[in-house]
Amino acid sequence: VKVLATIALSLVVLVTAFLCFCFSICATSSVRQIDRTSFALADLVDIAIMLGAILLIAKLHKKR
Amino acid sequence: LHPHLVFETLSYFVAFRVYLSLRRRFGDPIATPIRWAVVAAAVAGAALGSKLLFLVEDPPLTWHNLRNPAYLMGGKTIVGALIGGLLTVELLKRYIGLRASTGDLYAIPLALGIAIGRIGCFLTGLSDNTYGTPTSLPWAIDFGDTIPRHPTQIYEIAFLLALIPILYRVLNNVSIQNKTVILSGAVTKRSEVTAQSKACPELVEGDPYPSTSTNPVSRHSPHALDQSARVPTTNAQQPPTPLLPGDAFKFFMVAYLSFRFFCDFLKPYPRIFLGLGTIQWACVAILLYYFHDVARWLAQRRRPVPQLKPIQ
Repeated sequence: VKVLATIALSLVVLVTAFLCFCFSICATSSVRQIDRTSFALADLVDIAIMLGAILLIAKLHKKR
Repeated sequence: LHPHLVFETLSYFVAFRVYLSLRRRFGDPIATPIRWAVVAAAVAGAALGSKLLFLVEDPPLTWHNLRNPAYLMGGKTIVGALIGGLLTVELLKRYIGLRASTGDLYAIPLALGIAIGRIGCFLTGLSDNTYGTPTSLPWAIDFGDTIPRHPTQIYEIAFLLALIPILYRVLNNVSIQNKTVILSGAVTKRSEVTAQSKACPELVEGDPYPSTSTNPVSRHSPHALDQSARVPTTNAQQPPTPLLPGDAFKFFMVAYLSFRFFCDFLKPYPRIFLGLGTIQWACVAILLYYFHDVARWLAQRRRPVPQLKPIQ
């Protein structure tokens, strides 16, 4: 279970990291200001999910 | 399609394939779940670090754009990503009690990935903010503002492509050194470890995750000692190099950050203190962090390398 959870959470981190990169590109290259703001906020939420996942991974493997 | 999107995605893909190929070739001293955790920490730290360093790259501009989320979330820097990844992995390792070096296999994929990503920066042009200062040199490039500039992205690509063969050599030497150390350990611990692994072949204390590496001599687990004892002694006959596990990654960091320190003098970035920009100060900080390793490499280069006796 621990191994599967680690792999699943790592995949969450990888996907959110890739989305983070995509949102950054969209935020800088969008023409409309409202789109830019939306992409930037989506990026912020994405980073929060990524950090949550990495903290959970660290908790799973915490030194006893 | 935005060239940055295309080449950055390509760089992630190619770097990951190269990483898998190197892992198969040289083996992985870290068990698979821990490796996943380390990769996740590196990626998350890189994503966060690249944005944080960007925000302090030009403090007045960031202050001016405090109410502009697109600016605050849009920028990234490679140096910030490297530092963020390094710090997060070190924090995770300390938190979970892992002492082994984990970065050697990332050195070549990082160099190759950055080189491919820089093609996207070069094609993006002025809006990417990675161009150089004006120059009259014959290879200067006009990025669209009619001013011939240093193509700093091309300088970086050339440097990284030249660095890759050196990194491969360092990685190979580190791998040979690991094999020699493990083979030496196998001589003294063979009987003990064999008995232990016979008693419990799947799980030996201290090795909760048997490594899935295809290269038995590169593992650090007690199983690895047992298996490596059966490896022919030809590897042990090679003299050890003055390199330790982790040195391939450290060599990449020292080489790349030194290059960036000097290359950034050719970029029109704001200088925040003593004529250096934020990225240059970040490079100085990490170069100081690796100072002991550089001193060790230099000291061991001057010292004659002792020859190991072949294992009978």
